[in-house]
Amino acid sequence: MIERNIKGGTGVLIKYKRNWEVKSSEITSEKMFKTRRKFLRAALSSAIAIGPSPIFGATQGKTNIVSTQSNVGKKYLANNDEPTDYQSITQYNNFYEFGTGKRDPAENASKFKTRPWAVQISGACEKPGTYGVEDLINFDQLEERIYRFRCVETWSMVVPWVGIPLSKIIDRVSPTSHAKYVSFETLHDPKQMPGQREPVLNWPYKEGLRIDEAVHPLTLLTVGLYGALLPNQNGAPLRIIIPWKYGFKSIKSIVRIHFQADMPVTSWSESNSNEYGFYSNVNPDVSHPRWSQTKERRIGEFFKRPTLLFNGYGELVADLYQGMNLERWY
Amino acid sequence: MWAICLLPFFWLSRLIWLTCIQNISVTDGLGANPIEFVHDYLGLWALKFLIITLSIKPISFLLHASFLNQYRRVFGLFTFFYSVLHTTAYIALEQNFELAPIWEDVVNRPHITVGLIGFLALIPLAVTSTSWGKQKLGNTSWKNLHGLVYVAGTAGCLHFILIRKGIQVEPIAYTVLFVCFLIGQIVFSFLRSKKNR
Repeated sequence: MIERNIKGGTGVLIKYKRNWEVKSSEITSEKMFKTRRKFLRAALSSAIAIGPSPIFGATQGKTNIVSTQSNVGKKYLANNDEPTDYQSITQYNNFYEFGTGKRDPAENASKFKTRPWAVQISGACEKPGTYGVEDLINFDQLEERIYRFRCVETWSMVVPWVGIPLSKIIDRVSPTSHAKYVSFETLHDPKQMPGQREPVLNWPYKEGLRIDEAVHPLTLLTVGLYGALLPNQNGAPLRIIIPWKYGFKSIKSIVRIHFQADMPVTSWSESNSNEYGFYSNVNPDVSHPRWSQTKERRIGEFFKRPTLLFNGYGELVADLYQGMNLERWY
Repeated sequence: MWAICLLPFFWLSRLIWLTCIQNISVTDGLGANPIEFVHDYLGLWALKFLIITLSIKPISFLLHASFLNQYRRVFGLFTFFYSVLHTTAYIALEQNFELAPIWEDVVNRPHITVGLIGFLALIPLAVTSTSWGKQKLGNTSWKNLHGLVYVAGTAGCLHFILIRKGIQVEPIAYTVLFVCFLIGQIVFSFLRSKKNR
């Protein structure tokens, strides 16, 4: 089964792998690189008109939106942390706005409109306002970050995300001293998001981070994966990835970022506070009412492997929680 | 009838074969998480068979087709068949036969506790499903014993609701269907006992 995934039905991974094993300067001349940037901008601004096909094409190695290979967090990957194949990452999703089945998001999100897209930034900051994705993200500065991704349901993947550190955006809008927490909201649009017509959660989806977690260098404002723009089912056009927390903290399709003094209410803790806390750091020693978190199944593997504290990023993030009882602040 | 009841099993076997031998892509076949797929699929068919079994009596009553009642046994047995496979999938594929985590689940995780109760409730029904069992027990106590199917059904529905996150339509739909048959049975036996008096 492992072999099946590495081979990948369409060979996407193999083809792609050549791209990121070589430095981008070696594979593309500067001129080509600039042309590519232009092409990308054009593709972005007309994504609605063209539809998802060029974006899919990009995953085949035609366009690569990555400018630099980031080493942040990379050294914490082990030899057995091979990136999960593209098909699995994009066909096995928890995105309840598009249905509760793992294959529902890929099926139901294909017509989701991600351009134009506005993000409202508000609360305790000096430059609140409504920003377009292109205003927020400098597409010439996109980094590729290969992170482990651990779902609370005890499965995991390794994903080459593309984005910029969230701290860059936060710095730009200058939070005030009252900004102790940041809250995020997903788009609420039951017309486009069929899952929101059912009362699974109290829509829209809400998440939050403490400000020091939000500006941590590992926290990535993400626009792509495997070198291409995010497929809709993975949270296009803009999501956050916090690799040391359970996957549901990594909120998708964000339309609102709010700085505040109080700890925000998050959707899952609102739905069931016994099971889902605000912090939700990956922790094998804190048992969950539904799943023992001691082990996880890496997608593509048969046997479970042990789960690591903070998903293996403890050296970088443990300081954030110094002196805190992690069992109490689950 | 056996062939019909085995169809979901054959379909699953075919998918397993295609996935393991023919390397079909993750969008078809068993998906990106084959173990979860197999496990869920078997559990869902166990519950489906339980509800089908319960539906036979009211249907035959409404359609005046009493010959249908003979199929209750085979559908009941297949409920057990899929429950055994589902439980085996949990023990073998999810837990790799490790007893400590299984016990921890049974004690600490309500959906597992409830699921186990449902499974255990089905065992005496399967054991006494033969004509020999019916003779040995006598009609009345056999019928009383087989009331356990409602315990199994309640546990099965609860197990399904608990395992899903948030408020989800699918397990609730199964539960509503099951509760209809449960209420029907209660009304039916109430009327009959009144008539007998």
